[in-house]
Amino acid sequence: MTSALVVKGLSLSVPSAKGRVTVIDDLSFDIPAGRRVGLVGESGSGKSLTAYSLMRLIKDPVRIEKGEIFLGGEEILGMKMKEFRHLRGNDISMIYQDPMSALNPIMRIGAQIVESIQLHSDLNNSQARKVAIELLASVGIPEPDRRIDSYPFEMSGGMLQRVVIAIALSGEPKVLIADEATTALDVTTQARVLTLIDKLAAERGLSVLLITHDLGVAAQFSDEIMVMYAGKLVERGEVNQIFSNPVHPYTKALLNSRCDYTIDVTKPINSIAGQPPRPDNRPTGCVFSPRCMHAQPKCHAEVPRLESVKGRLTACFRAEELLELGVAK
Amino acid sequence: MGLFLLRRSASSLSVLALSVVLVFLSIRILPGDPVLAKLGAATEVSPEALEALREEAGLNRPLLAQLFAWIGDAFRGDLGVSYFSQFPVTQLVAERIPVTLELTFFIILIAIVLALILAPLSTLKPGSILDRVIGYYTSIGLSVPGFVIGIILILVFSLTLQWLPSRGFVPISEDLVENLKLMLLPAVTGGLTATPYLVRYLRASMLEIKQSPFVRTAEGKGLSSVRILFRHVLPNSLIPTLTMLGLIVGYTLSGVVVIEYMFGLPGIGSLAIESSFKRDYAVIQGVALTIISFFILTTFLFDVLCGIVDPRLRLAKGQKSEI
Repeated sequence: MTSALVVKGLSLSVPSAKGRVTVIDDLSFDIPAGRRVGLVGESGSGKSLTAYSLMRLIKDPVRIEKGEIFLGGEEILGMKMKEFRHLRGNDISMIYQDPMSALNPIMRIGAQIVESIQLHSDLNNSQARKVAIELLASVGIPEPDRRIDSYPFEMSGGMLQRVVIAIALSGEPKVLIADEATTALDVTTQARVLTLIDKLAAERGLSVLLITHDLGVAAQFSDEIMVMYAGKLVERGEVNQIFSNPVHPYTKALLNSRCDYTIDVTKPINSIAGQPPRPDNRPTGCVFSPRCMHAQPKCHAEVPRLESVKGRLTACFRAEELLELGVAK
Repeated sequence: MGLFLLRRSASSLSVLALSVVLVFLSIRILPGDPVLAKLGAATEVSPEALEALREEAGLNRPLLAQLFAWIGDAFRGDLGVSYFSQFPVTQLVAERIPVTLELTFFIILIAIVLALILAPLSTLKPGSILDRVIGYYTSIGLSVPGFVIGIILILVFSLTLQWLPSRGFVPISEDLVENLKLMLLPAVTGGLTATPYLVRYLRASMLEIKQSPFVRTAEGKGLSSVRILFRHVLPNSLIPTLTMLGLIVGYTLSGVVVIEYMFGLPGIGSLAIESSFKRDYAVIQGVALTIISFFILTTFLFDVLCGIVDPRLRLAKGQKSEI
């Protein structure tokens, strides 16, 4: 299977009192063409920074230290910005976290979509407007020919996110990144927007990277799940593998700390003891070792690599052992 | 919008009334009066004759009676007459105001044009050499008083290079070219003083807007940074800057006094200075009333303009729908 997107050895740093410190450490993954990959992890694990790296939207003081990103076979990090701009919005595009602030408040939504359409095509104003109306209709906006002249403040959050999606699709991208695309929306709207992205991805054969901290969203949407912790990928596998039989202790802990609203509300919520490491205080060895209940001396000394264990990738020295334990249980 | 206008007008009017009363009282509390000013150094005038002259000028009536008489007349459009020239104040002000308005217009024009060039240039790459040079200019412009800039301009352009006249005024109706030539130095002086405020404000506003998520969306579309700056960042920064501009226009209108005096322009500012020296009460009051009215009117107009330019304010009522 070909990959729509390949990331190799991506490292990002931020400044701190102790000088520049790593926030994303040697991250490598790929998005197979036409697949939906969910990237999950706690706040601060580096999910959004990963997304912005793919769009080359990383700004000072955050810096890409090393790594390569291949988009349809072409390396983009070394590209001149002028060249990459033609790919941005065209081959790869993004849906942003908060639709309320993701649109220019004093520009009609139509103009914001048309601007993007015209950037990636030779259509004139009226043709581009027609395409924009079609796009609005395809993302489920009622009366698109009237709504196109609305300002963002005249629309609800769910509708605005549909506009943002329309903008993301306006360049007919191959890779779509959805960065917490439904987080700012209320639950029912969330489900609708997610269903919409799902439908559009299927229709257009998009390769999608869905970034979320919501495991339910990830499970519902993705083919594969990647679990990120403290700037490192700790586990990757098919959805059912990850959810029914996680191997990495962090994935397990994360799944255990889900809130289950159907059971006793008086029961305390499971949580993972301790805190994720601060970027300026990363542990040696496995990043999760200080909080891991299965950690052994080796875990504190050496960094585990992402390795294939029974059809999935896991970065844990005790993966096989734990998998057997898990199966035995 | 209607309620806003009403409330805004009410507060504007009370500011106007308060400041007019303040001016009225303060010039009378100050030592000296028009009678003394007119007599000048003539010491042989007897105290009785002085009293008689004051009585005649109506200066011996109680202050409040004078104030209410003046206000009553003002409502009828009568601002009194100059104690010296005996011309009606309204006529004096009407003759002088076009000069001040023209000067203010050019000053603001220069400030707007410079700000629209300098602020985007400095935000294109914050911290760049260009940005720092513009920063030095605004710091110097803010700290050097306008009259110093004026003196330097006169020294360079009229005395040394002899390109432009240093003083005087010709009405537009008489000779447009000559009028513009005479207006140039005062307008540049005022423009250079007003520009730094506008540049700094617009720059700060643009840098703030640049951090907005919607600018990132625009980048994500693949737009060039110049296009993002002019299509997305600048228009959004102009809205808060409009309010600032209103204040600057107001300050310039009242602040051109020094420039008019320096360049010998017969505007309302030089009228204010002349009448203050002579304690020509009616003229001072008339000038103050005019300047304050213009100040309030411009800030008011710019507030309304903000409401028109910003669709969020313009359409905020009625149209909001949740779908």
